[in-house]
Order: sequence, then C-alpha cells, then structure tokens
Amino acid sequence: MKYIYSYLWIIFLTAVFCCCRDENFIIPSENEIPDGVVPRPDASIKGVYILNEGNMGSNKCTLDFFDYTTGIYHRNIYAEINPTIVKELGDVGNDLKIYGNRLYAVINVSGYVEVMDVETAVHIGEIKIPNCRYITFHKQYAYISSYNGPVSPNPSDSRLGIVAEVDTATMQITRQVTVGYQPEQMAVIGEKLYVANSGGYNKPNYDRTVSVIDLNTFSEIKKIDVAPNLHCIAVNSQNNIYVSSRGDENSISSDTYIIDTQNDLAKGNLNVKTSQLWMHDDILYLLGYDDNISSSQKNTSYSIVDSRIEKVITENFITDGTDKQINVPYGLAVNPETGEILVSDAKDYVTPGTLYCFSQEGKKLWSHTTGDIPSRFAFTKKKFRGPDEIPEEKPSGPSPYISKVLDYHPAPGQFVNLLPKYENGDNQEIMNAKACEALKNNNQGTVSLGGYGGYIVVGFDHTIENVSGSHDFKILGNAFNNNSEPGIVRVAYDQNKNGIPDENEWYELTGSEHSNPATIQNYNITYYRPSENVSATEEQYIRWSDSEGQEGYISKVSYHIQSYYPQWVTNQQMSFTGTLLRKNAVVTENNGIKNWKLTPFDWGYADNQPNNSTAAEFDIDWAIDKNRNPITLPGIDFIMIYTGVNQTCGWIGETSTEVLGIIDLHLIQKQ
Amino acid sequence: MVHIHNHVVVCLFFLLYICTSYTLCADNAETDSTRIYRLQEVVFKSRVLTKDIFPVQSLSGEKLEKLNAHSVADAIRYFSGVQIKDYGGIGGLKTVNIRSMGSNHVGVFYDGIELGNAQNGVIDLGRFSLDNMEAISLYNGQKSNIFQPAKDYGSSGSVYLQSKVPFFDTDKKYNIRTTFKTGSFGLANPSILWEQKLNKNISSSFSAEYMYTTGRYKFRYKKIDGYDTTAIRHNGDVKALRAEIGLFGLIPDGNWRTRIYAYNSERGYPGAVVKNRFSNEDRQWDTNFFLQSSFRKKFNTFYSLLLNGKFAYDYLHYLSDQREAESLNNIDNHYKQQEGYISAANQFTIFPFWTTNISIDFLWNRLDADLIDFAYPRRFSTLAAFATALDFNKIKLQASILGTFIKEKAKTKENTAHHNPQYTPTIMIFYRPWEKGGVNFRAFYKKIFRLPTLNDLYYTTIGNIHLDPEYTTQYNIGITFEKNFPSLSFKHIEIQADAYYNKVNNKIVAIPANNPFRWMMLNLGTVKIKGMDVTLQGSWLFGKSWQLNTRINYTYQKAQDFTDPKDTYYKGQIPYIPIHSGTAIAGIEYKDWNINYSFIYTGERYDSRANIPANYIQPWYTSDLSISKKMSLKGIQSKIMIEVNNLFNQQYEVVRSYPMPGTNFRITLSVTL
Repeated sequence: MKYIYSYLWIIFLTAVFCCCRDENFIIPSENEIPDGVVPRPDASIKGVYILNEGNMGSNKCTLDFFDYTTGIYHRNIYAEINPTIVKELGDVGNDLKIYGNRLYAVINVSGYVEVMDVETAVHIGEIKIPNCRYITFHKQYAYISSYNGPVSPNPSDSRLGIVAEVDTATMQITRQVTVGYQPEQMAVIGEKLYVANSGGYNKPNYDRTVSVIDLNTFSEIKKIDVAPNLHCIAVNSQNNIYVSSRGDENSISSDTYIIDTQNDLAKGNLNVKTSQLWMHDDILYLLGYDDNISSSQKNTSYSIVDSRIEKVITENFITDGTDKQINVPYGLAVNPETGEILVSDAKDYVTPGTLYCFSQEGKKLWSHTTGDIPSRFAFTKKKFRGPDEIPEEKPSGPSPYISKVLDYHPAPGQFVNLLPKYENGDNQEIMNAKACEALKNNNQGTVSLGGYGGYIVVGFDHTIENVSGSHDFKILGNAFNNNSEPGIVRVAYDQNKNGIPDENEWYELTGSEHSNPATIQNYNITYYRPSENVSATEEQYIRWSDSEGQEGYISKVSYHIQSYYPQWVTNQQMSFTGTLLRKNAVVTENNGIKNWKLTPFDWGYADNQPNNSTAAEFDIDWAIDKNRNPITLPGIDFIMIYTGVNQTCGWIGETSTEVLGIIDLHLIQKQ
Repeated sequence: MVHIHNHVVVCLFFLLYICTSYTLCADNAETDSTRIYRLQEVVFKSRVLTKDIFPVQSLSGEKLEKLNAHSVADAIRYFSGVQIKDYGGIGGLKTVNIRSMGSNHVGVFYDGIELGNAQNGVIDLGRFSLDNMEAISLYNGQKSNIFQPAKDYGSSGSVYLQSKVPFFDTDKKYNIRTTFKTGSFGLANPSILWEQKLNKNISSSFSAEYMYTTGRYKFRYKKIDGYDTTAIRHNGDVKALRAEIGLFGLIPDGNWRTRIYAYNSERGYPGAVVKNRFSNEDRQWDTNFFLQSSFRKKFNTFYSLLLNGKFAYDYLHYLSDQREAESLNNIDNHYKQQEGYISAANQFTIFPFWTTNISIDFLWNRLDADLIDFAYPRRFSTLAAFATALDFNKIKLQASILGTFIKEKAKTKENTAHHNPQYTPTIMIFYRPWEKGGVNFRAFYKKIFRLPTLNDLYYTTIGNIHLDPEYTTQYNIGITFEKNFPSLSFKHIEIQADAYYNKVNNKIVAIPANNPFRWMMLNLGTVKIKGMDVTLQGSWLFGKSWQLNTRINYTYQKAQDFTDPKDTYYKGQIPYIPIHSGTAIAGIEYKDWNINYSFIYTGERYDSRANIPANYIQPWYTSDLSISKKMSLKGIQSKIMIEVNNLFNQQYEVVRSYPMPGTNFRITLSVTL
C-alpha cells in the first residue's frame, strides 16, 4: 500500500509537469472559400472588410475580409498581419469605413480609431478618442462621434457628446464640437454635418434630436427634434436624411424618420422598425429587430423602402426562408456593384456569428462563420494583399510620406548637430540617413535646417501628382502662433527618370512674398567655421558675410551649448544661394525683457503656418522657372526646403526652419 | 446610510464588547474559578469526514493555517470538483462553482446560518478572512446530518465556514492573539482575537481585523514573435474592516451562541485589461452587518430542537464616475438589502436506528435601490423540509424532501413575479460491506433549484419577471477507503473517489439585446456534467520528529452545453471549466518548524462554449511555498510564517482579461497571550 501510494504521487507529478503549457501565440487567420461562392476575378468591388465587435471586456474585436475575386473568406486577419500591436484590435469594435487608401476601425471601449492600409490591413496609426462611436469623412477630415464630452455641472445628467474633427494627414484632432447626449451616426451634406443623438445613458429621458453642425465654424447651429433614442443615419441622392429611432421601450416604438435638409426639419416617418440602415442607389434597406421580453418572441423584419417615392416595397427581402435561421440580425450592407445583400447574425453574442450573402432577389448565395458579433462592413475596390504578399520593406504600396533623404545640409544653428543628433565619426551619408529616419513614414521627428540657406532634399517612392485646382502636398513643421520660421520650397520633376534631381529640374514654389519688393533674388551667404575655443555665450560666434555686403554672426544662446557648425562638414566655410525673404520678427519690450514675435507669412512657406492649417499645404501649380515665370509640372519626385530668412533674435537665437514631414495629400484623401 | 467611518465601527464594537463582558463577569463574580471548563465539547465538532454520507472535503485548524491562503476562496482552491473564478489580487472578486453547476447554486453558511445575497445570489469568498476561521468544509449535495434547518437542504453544494470557538487551557480565563500580516501588494493586515471566559457556562470572543492593500502588481502579456508588454495593475486597492463579537453558552443537553458581525470596505474595481485600457476607475463601498443566534437542546431521547435566527443588512454603493476622462458609464447606484430569517428544526428519534426531522424556515428579503423605475421587491419565503434517516450499521439511508413557497411583492402588481411551489427530493444510501477494512460505498440523488435572484427578475431594463427557477439534478456514486499502519513509517492513507452526473436545466442567462443599453434575462440553457473527483491523503512519520503529510486532488469534468442541437457549438465545454484540474499539498514538520508546498493545476479552458482558438485560455499551474516556526518565550507563544506564492512567476489568467499576480510574498507574525 505504501508503494502504491508513492507511485500514485509520482504519476501525478509526472502528469502535471508533462502537460507544460505552450507559450502564447498569435492566433492565425483562417482562410476558406464558403460553399456556394463563385469567385469573380473581374469584380470592380474587390472585397469587403467585416468588423466583429466582440463582447465587452473580452478584447475580441476582430477583422475579417471577404475577397470577391478569389472567393476566399479571411477570418481574423488583424492579429496575424500586425503581431507587434499590443492587445490586437481591442475591445468592442463599433464602426468601420474606408476613405482614400485607408481603412478606419472605431474601437469603442479601447477608445481609439485604428488606421490601416486598405490593401493590406497593415497598421498605420491610431487616433485616441475615449468612448468613440462612429466615423464619417469630408475633404481631408474625419469626423468622429464620442460620448465623452464636457461633464455636466449637474451630476445626475450624463455627459454631453462631442464630434471631433481629425486631420487625416496628421491623425491629430484639430477641432471639436459639443452635440447632444450620446451621439451616434453622422452624415455630411454640403458644408453641414448631421449627428444623431441617442441619450441612451439618460433612459427614460432619451435625447430626441439630430444636431446640425456648420463645418466652417464647427459649431452646432441647430437641433432638429425627431424621436427618442436616435441611432443610424442614411442619405439619399435628394439629400434626404433617414434616421432610425430605437423608441423609448414604452409608448413609442422603433421607427425610421425622414429629415428634409432644405429646411432641416423632420418631415415624416416610414413606420418601419429599424436597427440598421443601408442606402444603395436610393433604395433604403432596413433591418428591424425587436426583442419582446414578455412573450420571448423575436420580431424581425428585413425591409426595403424606395426612398424616391418613400414607399415600403417589402418587409422581408429574404425570399427563400433563410430568415428563420437568423437568430439576431445585426449587421447590414449592400454591395454597390452587384446589389448583393449582406446580413450578419450575432447569435448569442458570445460565440462566432454568421455572415449571409443574398442575391438581389433575396436568395441565399453563401454563408460563413465570422468573429463574435459581426456588425460593420466596408467595401473596397482595392485588391487585398495578404501577409505573404506584402514585401518586407515596403508594407503598403506608395507611401504618402517621405521615403528618402538625398541631402541634408543645414546652415549653422542652435539645433544643428542635435536634430538629428551628430555622433563622432558621422559623415554626410550617415547624417542623411538620420534625417531620413526622423522624417520617413510619418515618424514626425524634427530636422532643423539652421540659419538662412540650410536645406534638405527629400524624395518619395512615387510621383506626387499635380492635380489642378487642388493642393497637392503638405509640409509639417513646428510653427505655432507667432513662431513662424519660414522655409522656401523647391520642387523637382524627374523628367529624365534617372532617379535623382538634376540641377535643371528644380523649380521654386512661389509664396505670398513672391512680389514683395523686400524679397531678394539670387542672394548668397557664406558662413565661416568658428575657432574651437569660443565660450558658451559668445555673441560673435559664427561669422557670416553675404552678397548684399552685410556681415554678422550666429550667436550662441545659453541653453544650447553644442557646436552650431555642422560637425560632419570639413570645409572651413559654407555658402548658400537662393531667394531671401524679408525679416518676419517683431520685437516688443516689457520691463526690459525683449519679446520676439515671429509673424507668419500668408502662404507658400514651410514651417510658417500651423500643421492643421490649409496654409501649410502646397500646390505644384505655384512652381516658377528661373525667369520667375509659372510652369506646369505633371507632378514632382523631389522637394527641397531651405531656411528663407536671415535673422537673429536676441536670446531666442537665429531663425531656422524645422521640418517634421511631408504628406502627399492625394494618397490619403478620397480618390 | 453613508459610509460608516471604520474607526467608529471598531470603537463601538469594542465598547459593546467591554460592557457585555463586564456585566456578565460581575453577575458571576462568585463563580468557582478553580474548576476547569472545556467549552470545546459543546460545539459542533467535525466528525471523521471520510465516513460521511455525502461527499465532503474539509480543511481545519493547523492544516488551514499552513496553507498559502489569504481568504476562504484561496483555501477552497485545494478542494476537488471546485472551480474558483478569481479576478486577481487580494481585492478581486472570488466566487466558487461546485461541480460546474454555477456559483449561484452554492450555499455559503457561516456558523451554521446561510449568508444570503438575494440581489445577485453570489457570495464573494475573497472577503472572508481565514484569521478567525476554524474549519472550511465543502459538501456536495447537502450536509449528511438531517438535524438542520430547511435552508441547509436547499443548495446543490454547500460551503460551511466555521469560526473559532473559545477554548481555554487550565487556569486561563482569556486568550489574546494578535496577528500582523504584510507583504506584496502593499498589504497591511493587523488583527486581534480576544476570547474571554465569563463564567462556567458562558464565554465570549471578540475579533477584529483591518486590511489594507494597494492591490498593485506587475503583469505581462507576451506573444511569440509578437508583442510583449508589462504593466502594473491599478485601482485594485482595498480598505476593509471586520469586527465580530460572539457569545457561547452551555445549557443542560444543549448550547446556544450568538454573533454580531460587521464589515465595512472601500475598494477599487480594477476592470478588464483590454487594449488602451489597462485600468479602470470604478469604486465600490460595502457595509455588511448581521446578528445571528442559534439555540440547540435535546429535551429527551425522543425530541431535540434547533432554533436559528438572523437579521442582516447589506449596503452597497457602486460608482462608475462619468467625470473620469475615459469613463464608459454613468453609474452611481446605492443598494440596500435586508434579510430576516427564523428557523426551527425538530428531530424525533423514533427508534435508535430511525430519526426524522421536520424543519420550517421563514425568510424575508427586501431590496431597495436608487435606480430609475426600480421595482422595490420584497420576497417572503417559506421552506419546509421533511427528512428521515435509517441507520442499520452496515447500511445507512437518508431521504428528504424540501418544499419551497415564495411570494413576492413589487411596486406594481403587474410587474411582480409569481413563483409556483416547488417540491424537491434527495435520496442517499451508504454501505459498508465489511466491519473492518475501511471501505465504504455511497450514492446520492438530489434535485434542487435556485430561484431567479432579485436582479434576474427586477433589475431595471434587463430583469424578466417571467423567469422560471434553474434546476439541477445530481447523481453521485463514490467509494472511500481509510487505513492506518501503526508499524510502518507510512502511517495513514485515505482515499475518496466519486463519479457524478449532473444536469442543469432552465439555466438563466443574460443576453445582450439589440439595444446596447439593454440586456435581457432568459431561461435558455441546458448543461450536462460528467465528472470524477479523487482525493488521496497520506502521512508518514520518520524517526521521532519528522512528519510528512500529503494530499492530492484530481478532478475530471466534462461539462457540456446541450441547449440547442442546431447550434454550431452544441456540446461545447462550458466557459471556464477545465477538463482536468488538480492540486497537491506536501507538508513537512520537524519540531517547531513547518514547510508547506502546494501546487495547483488548472487545465486548458475556453471562455465561451465555442471551443475555438480565439476563446482558448491556457492552463495555469502555480507553486506556493511557506515556512513557519513556532517560538515560546516566557509563556508567550509566537509564530512567524513566510510565504512565497507563484514561485516560478507564471503569468496567467483565471478569467480572461484579468491578469493574475506573479511571484509574491507574505510574512505573518502572530503572538498569543
């Protein structure tokens, strides 16, 4: 008995230590062709992304992609494609949209918008907005609704909601506006943004309004009274808004209301229960789902309304009886090319759902298992490239950002040798690489060009197209109010396709100071290497002389004590030639302390206007030739920026242009 | 009721205690103090457990002290057939699920009277400290003794918490023990137990404990060829104060006891760790109070009476502050629960081999809350149990039937739930084939239900008054074996093995409705559980003073969802139930030294009945080690214990998105006067 017991112990311990656990692995995607799918290699809508919400607290929001050209359903692709992104896509997905070359997923509990490349679903960036709900776009901006607006002074009131305006180029919030309680879906018509307010936290006192926002002033100009607990918004070609109400669970039942945007008034209702809306060619598709607790009876409807005549065509567009298999109809979309209808079933919310695809006639074509709670869809005309098809170095096709630095030649300045940092032994090539690392892929590091004439030459992996009548690229700097350090921009079109900007390919862009008589052409300046033993606050630190017969010094400021002369340059002097802009500094004196204001020019210069301003954008049509005559270029491959003013402002030092990046506006905006 | 200040509570209790002690002492000033009274004999002492008719597991006294356990929940992890849901840290919610039937089916009894939570039916066992605990027992089915209140027949499985009962050595009139615990998570945990003999028949006990923890610990999420991030758990802090007074009395052929319990706490709710949200701001305040009394007397060989009574008040304030920058909710709710309970159990010994028991309990519950459209439910329950037991030495039989009659009242008549009377039976048989040999067989059948909780029925926006009770049916057969070997160094072995089949019908589940602000409750689920629990215990004695005690548990559970045959994941293993799990404890004693090693293994699980990779949760196993030494100095006994938990710093989750702490430490110092 003694031995039996000991043996049992040994068996137990062996068993326990043998069943060692594997390390945590990234869950791979599953790729299958659902039964009944006929691949269409010639499809113009190449595929559809599907966002699965995942139950709250589970961190199980996932992304699927159905490829119409191959018929393959790719399930749970995000984690595999982006293994280094901590905690994958996050907790509770709420909206999914494509704009330009980018895919945007709004993740509610994780409080951010995930920005991905539309062809590969590779992570590009994120926009943090707590309790964000839905997203819509207009021009270069994204508009994101969020429940977390200002806190009401009355503690029994819930917080008001907001809509945040985000510059798609910088992925930074530019403005925000307070709307109603718990705002949901939005639509832009003209220069107005319509926001459906739910007031879901205030049950039974739901919000009943649609907020109308003037996009120019970004302020709420009206609240349209509609019905309690508003949610979805769809717009038809006559600019009528269809907004769904969840009702008040009491006397007012769920319905769909119509808003006339001519006079911004609710003009009627469809008398159709609605939980989801989708507008396709002025035909409104509606999912209705109502759970009646007392009878445990589900009440679902699949309606079609012709919005041109406001007539209900059918209350069940599923004609083959498949609707009886659907437990909780949750998501709805219509393929803009084929008119096929996608309906997702969320089932019990804690197991994977099912996506059904119906023909226009309402016959089931195929179905497939999704992630948990499939809810939102985004169709794309771009061909999906899975992780195996993505080249390692270039993850996502043409990059809208700087991809190479050809030359970095700063003039002496207080940030030179710091931004980017010079280390012993660095040569020109290494400094170019360091500048490139700071600027490429929207890294938004800072590169300082030093005093007048210091320059950088950058290139792209594609030609930035010259689209007439619109701005083509944006230069990011660190200018803010009264802190403008203007840089002049030159562009080059690689006409001979030799991959480098030849001297005769350069053209300067005009700016607002183009015809200012104070602007000097063909200005030349020479800086002289300082002696080694200059003390830290030497005013006469680095001498310069110019073509105007002037002389002066770059002086050392007390808080930057490193050498201001580019350390990798071996020459005893350096010269720069170009256009010289007038001095923009204004000095005021207060109690003996001098304050310097670096006032901005109107337009056309780098590091001159704030990054969120359209005055930080550039148009290739501004290019002029050597004789200062306008020239039309098809596009540009290279950009050169050089510091355009020669001034030193007391204790704040010399004026030096800083560059944080360049963005091809066409690649990130809607095509 | 606003938060009572902790110090005020302690002072009040202390004053009350001094007063009662003094008065009782004064009354009995002339008591002969030279005689020795052993009050120990009057209390319900646990029997030799393996011979119990219903499967029972118990940890008591020294064994309990040696475990690396902070709370009752930590100790229960060492039982077989049990799953603890642990949300991490000292302050995290810990609930027990016996044999996969759901935590709502577990009755928790404190000194013989059930701890109620009519609101949500769940008792957080992480809040019950082991400081003044004498024994923890876990019964499958019900307690084997038929002489008990009707409530004790009313759960699928029960946990009995037995607090320490005063016991005095010769010539001693008091015992004072103070303990201080500190260690990881910023723990500061002083406690005091003062037992006083008041006269020859009455003694008292005062116990108070304060616990503070920051609840902070590091956790790490790492994926192969993927991300690797380490962060610190925040908002898991707890401040808790517990104070208790007990009076214990002896009467001819019987005894009585009464207890006042008060608990006050404030804690953070650390929340799920999801992307971009590694912490949470929600707070919770609790105040719990109860007064309970028990009286037992054998009037003659034919009739015995057991009376129990209780009044409980529970207050809960939950705040999810919308002013926090990243708030997701706007919750600022206050709940008040009151419970009144009286019970009479009457045992009739018809023949020495035949006893019957008739118990009648009345229970009154009231729930108030400041929710909009709240129903203000009151529940009146009458429980009547009839039980009979036959003991023919080799064969024992027990049968009982419980009748439950519920009436409820809510704000409006049409919104009041109606409950049909329920009659639920239990039958068991026990067979000892040989007088010697130590082998016993047992089997039981039990059908029981749990009522929908008041939250299930009335919670604003999700409650459903049309819910039916959730039923469980249990079949169990088992064998026990016990043998001593006085001549060997291997002294003792004990084996318990049970196989069972359980079924849960009408399972109440919450389903999110289409509107995100609204969920609903439905009687949707069916679960079938096939399982096996095995426990082995053995002890060795080497030489004169080296002693080795070991204990192994193994649990096999196939707990499948049988709700809907059309469902893709029909027959999936239900969430958080591992198929294999086990524990092992080995303790070495040498004179005043003690080393204890414990190991817990929980196999792979899924957090959804969809048993797919996305829902997979890795197995976890932790090793805990403790060393203690007893010292005696001038009659003052002291003990120091050092614990290292999760020795190999495993990063694991019991519940998805709730990371558990890695290696952590604790030091306990206690001094007894």
